[in-house]
Amino acid sequence: MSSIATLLTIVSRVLNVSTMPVQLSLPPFCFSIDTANSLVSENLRRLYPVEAFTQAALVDYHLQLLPGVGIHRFYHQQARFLCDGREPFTPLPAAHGYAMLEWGMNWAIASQEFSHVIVHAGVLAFGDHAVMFPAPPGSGKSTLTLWLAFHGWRLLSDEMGLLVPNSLDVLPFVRPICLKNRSIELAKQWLPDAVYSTICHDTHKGDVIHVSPPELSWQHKTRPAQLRAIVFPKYQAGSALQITKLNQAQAFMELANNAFNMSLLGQLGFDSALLLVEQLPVYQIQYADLSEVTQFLHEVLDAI
Amino acid sequence: MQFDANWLQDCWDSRQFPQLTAEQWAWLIPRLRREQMLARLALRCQLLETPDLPDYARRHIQNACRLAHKQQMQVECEAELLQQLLADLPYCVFLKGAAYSLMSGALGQGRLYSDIDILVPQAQLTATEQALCLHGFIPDDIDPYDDRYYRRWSHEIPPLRHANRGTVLDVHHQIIPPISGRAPDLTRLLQNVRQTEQGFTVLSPEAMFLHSAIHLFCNEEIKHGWRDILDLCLMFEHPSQAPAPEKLLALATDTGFSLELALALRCVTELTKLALPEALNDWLDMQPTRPVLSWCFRQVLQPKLQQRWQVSLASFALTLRGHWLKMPLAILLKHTLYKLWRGGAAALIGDAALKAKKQQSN
Repeated sequence: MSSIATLLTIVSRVLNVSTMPVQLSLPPFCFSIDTANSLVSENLRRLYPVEAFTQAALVDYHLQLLPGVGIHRFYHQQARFLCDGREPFTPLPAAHGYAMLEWGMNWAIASQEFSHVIVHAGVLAFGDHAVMFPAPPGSGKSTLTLWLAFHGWRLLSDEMGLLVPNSLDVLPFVRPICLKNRSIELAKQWLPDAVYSTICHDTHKGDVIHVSPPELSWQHKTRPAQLRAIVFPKYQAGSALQITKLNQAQAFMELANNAFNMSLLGQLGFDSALLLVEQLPVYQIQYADLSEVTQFLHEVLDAI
Repeated sequence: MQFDANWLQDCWDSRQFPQLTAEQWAWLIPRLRREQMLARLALRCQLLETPDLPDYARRHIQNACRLAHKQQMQVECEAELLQQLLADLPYCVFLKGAAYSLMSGALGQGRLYSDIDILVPQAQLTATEQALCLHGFIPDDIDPYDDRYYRRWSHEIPPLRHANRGTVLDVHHQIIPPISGRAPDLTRLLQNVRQTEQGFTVLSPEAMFLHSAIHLFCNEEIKHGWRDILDLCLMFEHPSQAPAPEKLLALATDTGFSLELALALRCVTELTKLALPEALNDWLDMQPTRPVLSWCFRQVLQPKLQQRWQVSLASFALTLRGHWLKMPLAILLKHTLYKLWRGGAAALIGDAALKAKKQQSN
């Protein structure tokens, strides 16, 4: 039987047709992923734990990563991303397929899920006390996320913080951490034993790699945490740690700038953000040394 | 229960939905989302009020309804801004999806669309584009060939996208590409406009129906066929706002779109439970039946719940027909050759090389 399955896989690879879709349960969502791009399948198997590949949950979004059409099937091979049969992006080179799939998952959630307030932020928790790090791309958010996730904190999310409206509760959406350009080298120096995807070179964001978070984060992938602070990080080479406490108005505006769906949620989104800035300490930090940041975060959590 | 197109159409017509299991919803919901029909169907059949609706279905339906609600708010806001910005123009008519939303009736309820379409005078096209550009509506970066193609042959300029809000605006000066040789005299169409309660200009019921029919039945690519045929159905659903048969027929004849009107009326009555006014039925009986063409359209205008070869065949045939109708053969050939050449060149020397070349020449 297994030889027949292998034969089928080989035939489908050669013909570049899709195999059976895999189901990936990433609480609180479940994706079905259909691809014949072997690089993508390999990276998926490498980065996500075995338990994530389960048929137990109902599929929320059907994702496909298909080969390019026409001549792009063979020359300058492309990858096309489809969600429920719709194609939101223009095709990318086939070698960028895995990054495209991860970005596509972000797109599917950010543009279609409105049960949570979604913030472009890393969220990490020490025990069940969470800190949210909202930041625009290029702030060093993911590098900070990576550092904390491998230093005793548990990762709830790297890209999208899922907040329960009108509360301080935050849900995990555990997925690999996305690193870019220079932070790739840095990560490999710090964490030679971590599990990495293959590098996608020369994407529109530069070189991109994904890193699987440690076991602790995956174990608690359904365990909510409570927000205790919001920190807007900004990496600045050579800088000593500078901490600025934001007032409520500043905090609200910064939060709104980093929210994916706050305006869509209307009153609910507004009220939820208001609750956060009224109840939580909010800081802006500039830093170069991540151990200084870690120490500061522990001080913030201890003070509450 | 057989979950096919007929079953779904019955649900739509009767406003009744059977009780489904979570697994059945998980099969149906992605398909409805693809048709851009989840919110519209949910609001019509009041699905959120259904007792014992599985959590899975409730969450996805709520998501869809929230998205539709936000779009409704946003289009009103954008339309108000546009109205102020383009106040000096002799006219600015909101078309299609945006118009349906602005009329705040059953037609707009849960109707999703990806851009706002407006019709402005051709003479003021440049001024309009400049005014919009100054207020943040910037054209996407497109191939210079495509840009020229739009401006020379099309009925609209390349889409404009608002730099902050992301709203996409399609500015039209005609309702169908002039290159097709069928662009009507707009003064005839512009006699058929009305104001919404909030003071936005939209087409009269007759012109709106005809325009939607032209758009659907002259198109080379039909993405959301079911949504679009239901637009036509809904326009007749409320007798007080329905197109008046005599006016509709006269407008179609005067503008030269009787064939499209006949196709639209035939498909809408065959696919939905809509009963047409007597006068339209009588007129339809006198029109040529065009069985092959009607068959093709019926395939692509049904909800696509299963993969069916009939749909693929019909879409392919309609794509060929659409291109054929839109362009004279010489231009169609030139266009196809260019697209092939660019595809081939991109494959051989890389897309980046072509783009670099383009930037150098600028």
